[in-house]
Amino acid sequence: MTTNSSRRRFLKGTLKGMAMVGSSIYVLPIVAGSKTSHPITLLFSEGMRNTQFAYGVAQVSKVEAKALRMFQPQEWQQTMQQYTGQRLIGLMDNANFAIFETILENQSARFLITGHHAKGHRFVTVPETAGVAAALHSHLAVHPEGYLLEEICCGRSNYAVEQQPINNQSGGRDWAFTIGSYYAEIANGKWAAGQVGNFSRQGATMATADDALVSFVVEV
Amino acid sequence: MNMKREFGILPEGVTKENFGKAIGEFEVLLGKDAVTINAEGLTSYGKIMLPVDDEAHKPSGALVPHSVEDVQAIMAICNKYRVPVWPISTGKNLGYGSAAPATPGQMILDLRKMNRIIDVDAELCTALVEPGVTFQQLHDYISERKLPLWLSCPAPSAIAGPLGNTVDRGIGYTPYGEHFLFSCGMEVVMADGQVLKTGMGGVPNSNTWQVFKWGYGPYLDGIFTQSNMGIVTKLGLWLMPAPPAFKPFMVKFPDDSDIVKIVETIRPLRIAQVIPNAVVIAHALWEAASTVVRKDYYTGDGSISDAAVAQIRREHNLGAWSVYAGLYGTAEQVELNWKMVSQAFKSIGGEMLTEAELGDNPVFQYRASLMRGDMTLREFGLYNWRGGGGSSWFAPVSQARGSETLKQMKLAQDILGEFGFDYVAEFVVGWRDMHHIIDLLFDRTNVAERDRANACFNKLLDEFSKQGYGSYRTNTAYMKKVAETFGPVKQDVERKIKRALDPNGIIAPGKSGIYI
Repeated sequence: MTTNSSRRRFLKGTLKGMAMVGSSIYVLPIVAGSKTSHPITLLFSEGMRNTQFAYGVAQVSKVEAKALRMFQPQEWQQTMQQYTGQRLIGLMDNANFAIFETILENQSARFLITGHHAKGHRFVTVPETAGVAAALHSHLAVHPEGYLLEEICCGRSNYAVEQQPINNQSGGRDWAFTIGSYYAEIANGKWAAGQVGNFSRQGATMATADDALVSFVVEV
Repeated sequence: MNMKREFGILPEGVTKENFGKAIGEFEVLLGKDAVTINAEGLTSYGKIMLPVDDEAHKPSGALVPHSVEDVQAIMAICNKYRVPVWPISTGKNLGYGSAAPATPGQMILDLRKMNRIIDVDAELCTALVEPGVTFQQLHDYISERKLPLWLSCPAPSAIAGPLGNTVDRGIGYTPYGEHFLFSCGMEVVMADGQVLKTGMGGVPNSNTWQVFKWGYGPYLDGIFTQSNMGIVTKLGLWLMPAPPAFKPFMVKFPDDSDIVKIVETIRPLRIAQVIPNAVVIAHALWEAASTVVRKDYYTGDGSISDAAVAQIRREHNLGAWSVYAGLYGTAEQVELNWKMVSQAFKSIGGEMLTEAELGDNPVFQYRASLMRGDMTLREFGLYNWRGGGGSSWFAPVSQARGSETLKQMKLAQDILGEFGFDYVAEFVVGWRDMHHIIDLLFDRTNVAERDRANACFNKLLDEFSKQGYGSYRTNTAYMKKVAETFGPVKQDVERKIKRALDPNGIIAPGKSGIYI
């Protein structure tokens, strides 16, 4: 599978339902349950393949999705200037995020939450965004899959550790969709901070990322 | 007021009261904006990609000086309260520890605001830069002025800096790729606040600081590389004159065992400077890992299967090994050397490819960019191979001898395989040595895998050391262990030098395993 074919697969999936506005900006319609009409900008790197995350964001808010060309830090730097003062949601591959993070930190941007998603989900939060892992745990606990959730919150050292028995009930929500909706609440300043902790459950299948990703909310 | 402050972590042996006093004095010196102690503000300094817990490398604060005088004054406060600082330039030592300190509780001394390009001399082909200068910044400076000079940069190029990379003894891919070899003159703030200029820099009104390395008496620059003996605040560099002709090329070989004849062929060409740059011999998985995702080819347990590697090679037209090198000089020189090189590689069955055949092939263009010192970040693609944000570089040195490289490759493959990791590696050929660069890529979102990666790295160090192989560089989690592999006498001498120059141990304790 080449990067190009991955990109095509992503575009086919993610951009379905989005209206193209410019060469690289797409608008997701507000879906049932959306609470605000203020669009949130969703940044994604080319080749990124998760669609559920975007729809999770769109559950809460209107979304403008913007594709960033891969490995173009100078271009990103210029792009980010137009978002000064805003909170942006992003979903990137690990490689581009490693560079993107550097660029934004040099511009004194503030990462409110960063999530690494692969076999498990590892969140780094700040006090006002604390509790994402616990919230996700409460959703996934009724889901048939197992999961590994870890949260590190700056300035907090008290961690809850909880291991759930295998649960075969169904009815849980897709992890990416759920996180997308949480991030939209964070971007809108409506997230209610909660308990920090690490949670895990072994299952026959695990709530993993099909492709390893990094998600984030950043204040530019 | 300081007593009421909350600190996430304290420097080892420093009371909360004294740390509070030190912070107060830092704020008076630098301004409150240049002193960070809150946990959120420290997040970016504490991020690591290593297979250990974040807490092991958690900083207690960060200081952002603007000048050498600031750094001198910081030393005074650090000595007064015994607060250790961990100097960083751009802090992008990804996979080697990033910006985070070797031991918890140190304050980051972030030199990125000291980012002046003090001088670039196009005739002498020299530069003098501060720690915060990035390769991109220097590249832009040179291209805006249309100076006929080339840089040599490491793979993270644009976001890394020449001073930090050189003092960590990093490498690039042009004929000037052994960066410390092509540095000339340092300015160093010592722990007692004195400012040392090495080489010719101490001579009043000297204009030879950036042209003659050795100065007079003992050559001191080496003790400020991979070390904690002082804080390097300026570095002289030699820049490469842009050659009239440059011919990058690639040679493909089909079998893992071909590494023997590859190295035997390259060595004489490299030592004689027919091939003058740091030749890269990239394994198929290194080539693949920077462009494709593992999961698309293999989802089973353990290391990636041979069948999956074969499939990747087939689909992406990769050899078992890809050799990248360049020829530099006048058109006549390049043509002559090309005859020698192509004859040598063809005689051992290599498939020679140049821009004529490869054109815009992105992998080739990425390598060609590195070999002419252009900015490219494509190597970051390695982080997508496995995902999850884990990367730990293992970098043993070998002789440039085919039998040795084969032995190292097999040893590494066996150990990585035992722990279920992939051999993602390349050899970079020095003049007579090879840097065997292995990226231990793992998923940091999975604690069990993180622990396994840690065990794997320890075994790599143990087994390579038993075979007589030392590392040229390592990441912050294993610095003490690597230092031990170089023997007790070296450690003892380094400790004595450290105690003499920094009796309170305020500069980067634990860097390269050196403590007071």
